[in-house]
Amino acid sequence: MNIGKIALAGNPNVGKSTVFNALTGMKQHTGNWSGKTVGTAEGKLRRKGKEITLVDLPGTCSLITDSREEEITRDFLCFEKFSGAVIVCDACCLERNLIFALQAAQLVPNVILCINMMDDAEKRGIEIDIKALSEETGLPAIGISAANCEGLEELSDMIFELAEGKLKADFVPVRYPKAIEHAADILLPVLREKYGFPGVYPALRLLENERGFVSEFENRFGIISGEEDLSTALSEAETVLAESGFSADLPGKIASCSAFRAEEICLSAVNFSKGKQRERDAKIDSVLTGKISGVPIMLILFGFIFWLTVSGANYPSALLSALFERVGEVFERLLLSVGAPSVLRSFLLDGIWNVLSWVVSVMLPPMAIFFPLFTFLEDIGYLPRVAFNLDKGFKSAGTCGKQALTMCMGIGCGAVGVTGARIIDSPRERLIAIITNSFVPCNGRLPAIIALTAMFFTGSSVLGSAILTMAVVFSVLMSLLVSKILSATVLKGVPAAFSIELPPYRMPKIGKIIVRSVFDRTLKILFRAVVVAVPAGAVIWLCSNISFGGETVLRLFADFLDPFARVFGLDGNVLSGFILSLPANEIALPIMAMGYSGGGLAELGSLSETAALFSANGFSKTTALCTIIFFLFHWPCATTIITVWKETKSIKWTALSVAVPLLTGLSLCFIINIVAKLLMP
Amino acid sequence: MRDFSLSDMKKGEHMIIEKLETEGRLRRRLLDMGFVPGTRAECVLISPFGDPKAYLVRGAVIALRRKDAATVLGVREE
Repeated sequence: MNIGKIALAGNPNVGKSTVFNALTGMKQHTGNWSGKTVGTAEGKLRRKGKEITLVDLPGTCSLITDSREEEITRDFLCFEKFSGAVIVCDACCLERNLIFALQAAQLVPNVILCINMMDDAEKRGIEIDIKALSEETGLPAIGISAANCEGLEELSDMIFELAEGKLKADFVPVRYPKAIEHAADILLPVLREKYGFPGVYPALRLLENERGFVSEFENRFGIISGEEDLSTALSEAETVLAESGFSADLPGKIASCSAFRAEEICLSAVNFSKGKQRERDAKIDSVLTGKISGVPIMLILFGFIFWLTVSGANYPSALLSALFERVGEVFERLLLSVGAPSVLRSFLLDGIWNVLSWVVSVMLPPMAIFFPLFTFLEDIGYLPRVAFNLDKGFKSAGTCGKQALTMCMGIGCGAVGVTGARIIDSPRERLIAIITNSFVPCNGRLPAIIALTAMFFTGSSVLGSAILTMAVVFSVLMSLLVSKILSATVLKGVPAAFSIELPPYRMPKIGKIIVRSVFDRTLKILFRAVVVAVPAGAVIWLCSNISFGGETVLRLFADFLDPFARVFGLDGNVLSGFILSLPANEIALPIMAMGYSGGGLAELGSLSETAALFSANGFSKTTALCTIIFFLFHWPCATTIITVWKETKSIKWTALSVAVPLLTGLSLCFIINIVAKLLMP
Repeated sequence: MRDFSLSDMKKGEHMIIEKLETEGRLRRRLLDMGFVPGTRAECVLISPFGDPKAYLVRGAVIALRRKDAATVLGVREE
């Protein structure tokens, strides 16, 4: 029996999703920056035949907002029906988190204060007296360490008690100057009786005439001027404020009261006396964001990650490839034994099985190395520092440092980067981040770039990763340049105000990192690639086996594209590979190999064999360079394009997010081709 | 000394916020993060390229660009 719905809310970065996952046993991605929970996630909490729906809301700095990501939380807390809320706070920055908690408690009568990361706070010498906190606020409170699973049982007990009405909150209201309280009191009865708002929060927002709240209110209940009782009460309240001189900067006055109330609560509940809270962070930061050390360390760190990914992936890749070959042989014998015709055998093995095995053996190892490392950086809190370090560069391109984060997400997966752009407040800057997102090579393209680099430019992995780092740096610079061009043309504007929180450094939980990065990211993306690879393998096999006038469809298509492709230093086969790999970039290289070999992928063995096959078909170093560049800049994969459409709801921006990287890639390849012809006639 | 702002602080300096001349969305955001008159702020970090700087306010470290930080006025604490 479902006994109610409880919301989970809090500032970004307080470990809210960790709490949610720990309580519901769901594996939702969590990370050390905002924008991780996009949209709401629902999970169930079960006990003795009773069930509670837990809703994980995106982390928000405030309920007063007009940013898209935060609206979801505000709309839910303000306007949806639910039995209560758990406000998750970070024990290390309780004061700031309490400001949000107070807002929420002014809105929802049943609130549990859940102080997370108590273990971290303890290490920093911050002592929190949960009992005092609860007494001071009038709210039930609990201290937990979600990552260590400490206190979760008690928390879920409390959630059940809250939903059953056994746990009562008796919120000690925030005090405001008399005139403001008087004005709010005029509005309260109308808001309570007619619109069902129990707390003071809506009254305050109406008095402030806060845009975001008012417009959503009017969306749901009709315009305020048309609501007779409310508009009468509102004008009466406004007169009260005006008469006592409180109309000017009302938001500032109201916010001050909450801020100082939060400070007051902390004074009685938190003991900072051990006073070494920020020492360690300050030390780490002076290196990681230092004037001299900050940027080089960042480059070395990312270079090292690429190196590990490149060099570490070779051996497991070969192993997997051999394994697939073995299984393939077993399949073949099986098919032979049941007397399957040779066409079917070829279709299944050379078509589907080979593409599948390529995708898995090429993609899985690098992802299984890259994602844990990346998640590690995320987990310890390094990524917001990247945004901090690089903001000036992005500002000069007309955008903001948060774009560095969406780029990082984009390296993992383009679609993730596009959705992640919600962390950027300014709509203009968000669009720029979306359109330029595919400039950074995603995981589907990195292995191909790595393979081509190894095949044609270097055999050594150190040099290879250096080249790869350069390629990524180049792609970042290009995306800055293109962002700047966009800022000056279709998305004209000056950089909006920018603020980013630098969270405390955390000790990483290695086990969690591995589980999360392997299951949430690696396997998810792999699964998607496999789903695409199977039909793609079928289509490609058909293209390379159905012939007209003695030529396969694939060859005819490649020949048709060839003259055009050669202008850009590519060839028809390469270009058709790119086009056919629209569903997933991972399969581009195998399609090219298939086109060259004229058959299935059966011949595709080691890198050197593949290189020999490519070279035998006139694939020069220039072609290789142009292909790498085109891998960096062409169009996003189908999934990403669909995601852009979902995020922007605009054909124009979706088309631009395809056209901009494509034009960039074509121009660069064109130039490279001409220069190469001049240098090596 | 009224014209001292967050952006004038060097690393390690403190000030008491007296007035926000910030506008628009950021004003709201700063208020909600507790950047209200009477609040103590410390400059704790400067980005490698000199801008933005990060400030410790009410237990959280917030990075702001020079242009935006210049709108948060106050008195320097010696």
